[in-house]
This record gives sequence, C-alpha cells and structure tokens, in this order.
Amino acid sequence: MRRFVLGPRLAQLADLSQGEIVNLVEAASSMPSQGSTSQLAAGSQLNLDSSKELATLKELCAQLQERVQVLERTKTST
Amino acid sequence: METKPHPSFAGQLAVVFNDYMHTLGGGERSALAYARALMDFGFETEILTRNEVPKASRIQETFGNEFADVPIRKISARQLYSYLKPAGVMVFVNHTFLSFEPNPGKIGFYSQMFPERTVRRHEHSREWAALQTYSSLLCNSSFTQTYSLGRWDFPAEKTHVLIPPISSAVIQARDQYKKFLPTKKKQFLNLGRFNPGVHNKNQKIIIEAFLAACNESTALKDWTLVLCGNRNQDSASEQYYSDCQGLADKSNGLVKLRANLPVDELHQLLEDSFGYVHGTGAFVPAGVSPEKCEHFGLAIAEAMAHGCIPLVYARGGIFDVLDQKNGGFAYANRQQLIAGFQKISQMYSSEDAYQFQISNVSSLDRVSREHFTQRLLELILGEIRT
Repeated sequence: MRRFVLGPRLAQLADLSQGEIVNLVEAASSMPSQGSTSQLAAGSQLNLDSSKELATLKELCAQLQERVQVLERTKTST
Repeated sequence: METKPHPSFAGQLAVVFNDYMHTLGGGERSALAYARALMDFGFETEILTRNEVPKASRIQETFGNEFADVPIRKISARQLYSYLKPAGVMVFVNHTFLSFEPNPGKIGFYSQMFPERTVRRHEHSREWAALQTYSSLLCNSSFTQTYSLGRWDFPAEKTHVLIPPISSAVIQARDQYKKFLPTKKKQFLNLGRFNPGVHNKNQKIIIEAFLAACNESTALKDWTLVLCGNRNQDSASEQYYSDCQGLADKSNGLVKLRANLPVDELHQLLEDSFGYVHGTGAFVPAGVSPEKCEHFGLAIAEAMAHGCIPLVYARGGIFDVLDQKNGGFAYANRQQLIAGFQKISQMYSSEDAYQFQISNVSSLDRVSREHFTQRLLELILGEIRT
C-alpha cells in the first residue's frame, strides 16, 4: 500500500473540501507506484468500485492541478 | 518555410477526418494545418467530411493562401472504419470533435480540442474501445491535456500537447516586430464573437471593468477600449450585442464596438493597440466548467504577435506561450481585472513594456507552423519505430 500525503498548504491553496481530500487520499492509496492509467484500470487489484474511485481521483487531480496553477498565476495581482 | 518530403512517405495515404469543415472555425483551421503538414511530408493527403465542402474561395478569405491546395472530399460512408480500412491509410487524424470512430490507419492520431464529456472504460466501453485503437491523443494545449487525463481513460504516456499553428502571415508580422515594434496607441483591444452561449467572450464584463478602471485611475485618461467580433444572428446573441452597444453608447466615446470587420482593418487594430484584454471563462472558479474557458486562445496569441500586452483570465491554454510574469497579466476576479487595466496603462511607452513585448513575440515560436510540422514528424517517426 502506498501512502500519499496532501500537505495542508496545498490543500488550502486548492480550496479542497474535507470530503474531496478524503476521496483523493482513499483513491490514491490504491494506486501502484508506476504504470499508466489504463494499466491501472486493467490491474487485477482494482475492481469496478475502485475504478470509479480512480475516475474520481483523476478528475480531482485535474481540478487540483488547475486550481494551484491559477493561484500561482494570480498571487501577485491585487 | 519549406518542409522537405520524407522519402518513406512518398505515395503513402494520409487522411484527416473532420465533419465540420463547412463551419471554418478554429478547429477546421487546425484540421487544414494537419493536412498541410502531411502533404509537405510527401503523403497523398486529403480531408474527408460527411457534410458540405466549403468553397476554396471561402477558405482563402477566412484563412489566407496557406491551404489553397489541400483537397477536401465529401463522403457518404456512415461507417468510416469499413470505408477506409481497405484503402491502406498510413496516417489517420481524427479531427472531428468528440468523434469515436475507430482508427482505420496504421498510425492514428486523435486530435483533442477539449474533453467536454468523460470516457470511462467501464461506463463507456464502446467509446473507450474506439479510443484505444489510436496511437496518440494530441491535445491543443496543456489545459486540454490536463482535463483529458482527468476525464478520459487513455494512457497518459500516449497523451501529448501539439498546439495548432497560428497563421504564417501572423508569424511573418511577428518576425518583423521582433526587429521593429509598431508605434502603439493608448488603446485596449478585445477580439471575440458576440455570443452569450457556453463559450461566452464576456464583452459586458470587460466593458464594465474598463469603465470602472477609468473612473478609479487618472492613468487611464485618454485610453479607449475597442471590441471586435462577428455577430451571430440568433436572438440571444443580438440581445447581447445590443446590451454591449448600450454600454458603449453611455461611455462618452471610451468604448467602441466594431462588428464583422474585414481582416485588413482587424490587422490594423492589432498593430495600433497597446493592450489586449480577453474575457473568456471569467469568472468561473478554477476547477469548475473548464469547457467555458479558452482551450488554447488563438486571438490572444495573435495579439501577442502584434506586440499587444495581454490581460487575460487566469484559466485556459494560453499559458503554454504566455509568461504572465514577463509578458502580460492574469486576473482571477473583477478587482484584478480592473487593476490589470491600470497596470498596463501605467506601462505605456516604458522599458518594461518593451521587455514584455519582446518576450511575447519571442515566445510564439511554439505556435509556428515550423514547430508544429517538426513535432508532428517526430510523432509519426516515433510511431514507425515502435
């Protein structure tokens, strides 16, 4: 089992809700260390429920990545 | 720019599939650019569509001479795969928005404009299976790539960014500006269709913020805002244009609307304007409804090529080429938009402005036809090697 830690600063920057963080960490904890997303989805350790979790994780990761980028772009603006 | 044909591609077939060629929008320009590059490599290339083929004169009026010799053919085949598979296509580019036709070629590229829906292996097995037949997913920006990885179950290592090129005429103008920047007026420009739908360019937000900025700051004395764009004929768009015109009428000449302008007048406005402001996506929060943002932002890139300093909403694809610290300003809310107008006006004729302009015209190499063609060639050769 891999552990993913979402630091408090990143969580604050990304404006994640508590539920979003829990979903993200739960889904991330089942990810192997290497491999593409398709390999993950095909992996024997993931069943249908966990692939749904992975979908949630992927969508959240995209949103998270964008939120951090937007904050970086505008942090010096008044 | 001259691309030498590649010896191993001579006589091989390449097909670009786009069902919306008749609309001649940004996506269709991109489809033509793919076909142009494939022709330059030596492929026997054509664009296939299942709708009307636009006249050559219309393509020329809209996009210039670059694509005059690109063949476009209408087909009636309902099943593209069974129609094309026997033909032995070497390179197939699926350039039809949200098309899930399987790849009939030896090499298949899926040109991703934006993933407006999800494709999950277990929920959308037909679409997912069709996507797996492609060699690569080619996204028009990092923004599109980010959401493609989030919304589509497709291997990340086969997902790349390939920004469609801006017109060679604009790049040529840019090359001139690298040596000698045009004299600029105290003017902000905005380009975009007057359309209150999903891809709203938000001209009303821009006008209201500009007028607020003028009220707050003496630095904006003598500045004007010009908004250009085509007018749609539907009633909602007409009402939206009318609302914008109403705001302009009350602005004492500070705001001007110029609808349906010819290309040469547009070019002159780009050359004259010191600032460029863009409102698509404003103020949808980051992470929410990304389809409302600019997936790349061609108009912003063209303004940068003309030496305009951009002020853009902080989401979207333009940040692949725009360095907002050294080339322009990004805003996330109304206050930052107003401040952006003021900051740019304070830079007028300054050394900082010159550095921003030089940074911008130099950063556009990544959207040149030369870069696009080279990168596409690398992708094809990479597929052949594997």
